[in-house]
Amino acid sequence: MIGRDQRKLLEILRVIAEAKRPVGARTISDILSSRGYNLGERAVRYNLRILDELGFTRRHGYSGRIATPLGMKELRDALIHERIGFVNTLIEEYMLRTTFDLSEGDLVANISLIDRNDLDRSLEIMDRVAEAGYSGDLVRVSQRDDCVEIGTVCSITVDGMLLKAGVPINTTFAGVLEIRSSEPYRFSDLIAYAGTSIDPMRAFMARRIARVMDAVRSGSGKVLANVREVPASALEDAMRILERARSIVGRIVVGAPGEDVLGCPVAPGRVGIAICAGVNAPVAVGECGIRIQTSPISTTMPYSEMSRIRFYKS
Amino acid sequence: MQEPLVFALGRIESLIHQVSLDPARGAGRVITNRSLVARDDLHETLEIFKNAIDSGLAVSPLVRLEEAGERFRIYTVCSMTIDGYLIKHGIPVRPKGGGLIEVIDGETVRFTDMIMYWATTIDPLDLLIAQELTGICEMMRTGTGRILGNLHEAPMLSRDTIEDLLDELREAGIMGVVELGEPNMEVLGMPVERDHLGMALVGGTNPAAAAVELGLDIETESISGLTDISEMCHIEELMDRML
Repeated sequence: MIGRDQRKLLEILRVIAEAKRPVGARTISDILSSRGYNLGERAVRYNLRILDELGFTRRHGYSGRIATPLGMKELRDALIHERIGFVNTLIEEYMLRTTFDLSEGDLVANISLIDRNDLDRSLEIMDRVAEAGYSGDLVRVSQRDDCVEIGTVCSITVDGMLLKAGVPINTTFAGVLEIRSSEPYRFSDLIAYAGTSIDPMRAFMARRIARVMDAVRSGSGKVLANVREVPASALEDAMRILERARSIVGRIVVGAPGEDVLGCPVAPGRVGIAICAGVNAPVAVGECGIRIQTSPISTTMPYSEMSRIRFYKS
Repeated sequence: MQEPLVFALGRIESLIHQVSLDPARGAGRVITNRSLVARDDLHETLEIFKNAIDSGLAVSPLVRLEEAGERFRIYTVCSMTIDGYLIKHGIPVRPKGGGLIEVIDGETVRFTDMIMYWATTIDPLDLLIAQELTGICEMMRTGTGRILGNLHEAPMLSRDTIEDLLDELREAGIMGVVELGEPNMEVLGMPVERDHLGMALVGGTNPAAAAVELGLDIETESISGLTDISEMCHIEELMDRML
C-alpha cells in the first residue's frame, strides 16, 4: 500500500483490527478523534471503501467492518520506520496497565503453550529455574481446549512498580547474560529495544542462544535478561521497590551510577538495573526437548490467579 | 579488564576500513560471509547458492570453498565490501541497518523489518534468518517473497561519484544495489537524514538463508572477515571443477 494517504488508511485499519467486534464509521471516527486524528464519519466511510478494495477489510453485518487476514498482515508490515523501537511502546503500555502492589493487582505476563502430557515435567523444570534465581516462581496454569497455557511473570511488572513509585524508567537493552559459578558474570550479547522492529527477546529465543539448563545444572550457562536505566537520584527509591520485587522475579543486579551493569552500557547520571527474564523458565523447558511456544509480554494477569510453582506440582 | 562488548556497527566499520579491493586488477581484500556445511550437503548447497546468485539475490557470483574437517566453508561476498570501496574513495557512507525487503512480482517494495547496526551485537541478518521470516525460495519461484537486505546512507553531494564507483565495482563482479535513493527521499520506506541519500543493498547471505529455508543444516556467520578476491572464483567455475 503506497501513497500519501497511507497513514490515514492504516490508522483506520488499526482501529478496526483492535476492536473486539465489527465497528462502523461513526465508532471509528470517535476512536480516531480520541487518538488525535480528526476525521469525520463521511471521510471514514470513503476510506473504508478503499480499504475494502485493497482487501484489508470487509463488511460484516449491517454497517460493521472487520479486518481480513491480509489487513492484519499489512498492519504488521507497513510503516517500517515507525515500528523500529515499537517494543518500547509496548513496554510502556504494559507498565501503565500493571497495577500490582505486592499484595494484589495485575502483573505483566508471558504466555507459553504446551501439550497437556508435558505439564508435570515442564513445571518441574520451571521450578528448578526459579530456584536457581533465573526467573520468578509465580505461574498460572490454565487448561485450553487442546493444550495447557502457562503464564509466567514478566520483569516489566517491576518497571511498572517503579513507575508507580515515581521513578522514571527507561528500558534500554535485552541481552544474553553469561552465568559463571552460578552468578551473573556479564552480558555476551545485547540488542537495544530502540533499534529494532523485532522483539529482542523473541530474536534471542529464535536463535536458541540461551543455555538456561546449563546454568541451572552446572552453574555456567547463558540466560536472558533485560536492562533498564533510572536516574542516579532515584536509586534509593528504586532500591526500596527492588528489595520487595525480588519475591516475584529472578535475580536483579544493580550497577553503580554511570557505570556499565554487567558489561551493558549505561548513560552518565543513570543507574543500570539488570533483571533475569521471566521467559528463562519456558526457554529451559524448550531446551529439555519439550515443544513449547512462548510469547513474551503478552497479557496482564491478576495476582490472585497465580500461585507458586510448587503448589501446582503437588 | 574485560573487553567491552562490540556492537555490529563497530565490527563492520573495522572491516570496512580494511577493504583493499582494486576492481581493475581483480586484487585486494573484500568482506565476506562464511557458511559451514556438511560434506554430504555441499553439492545441494552450492546448487541453491547458484540459483540465488542467478536470481540476483547476492552481491557477487564469486565464492571461495575451503575444507574444514568433515565440513566445508563457503565464503560469499558481503555487501559491506561496497561501503569499504566507497570509503577508500572518500565517500563517507554509513551502514544503518539490516532488514527484510518485501518483493512483489519482482519489484522491491519496502522494508518490513529492520534492526539497526548500532543497536545489536549480533548481525541483524543472522537474527532475521533465525526468525524464519524470509521467503527467498518463494521469491525465486514466484517473484513474490521476502529477501534480506541492508540500508546505507551517504551525503547527497556524493551521488554522482557513488554511481561511478558502483560501475567500477560491477566490472569486477560486485553488484547488489537494490535502490539508490534520491536526496532526502525515503528508500523502501526508510527515511534518510537531512541532505543524505539512502542506498539499499541486497544481503550477501540470501543464498545461505535460502538453503536454511530448504531445511539444510548450515551455519552462517554474516560479515565474518576478509578474503582476498584473487582466491575467489565464479560459482559456475567452481561447480564445473567439482564435477
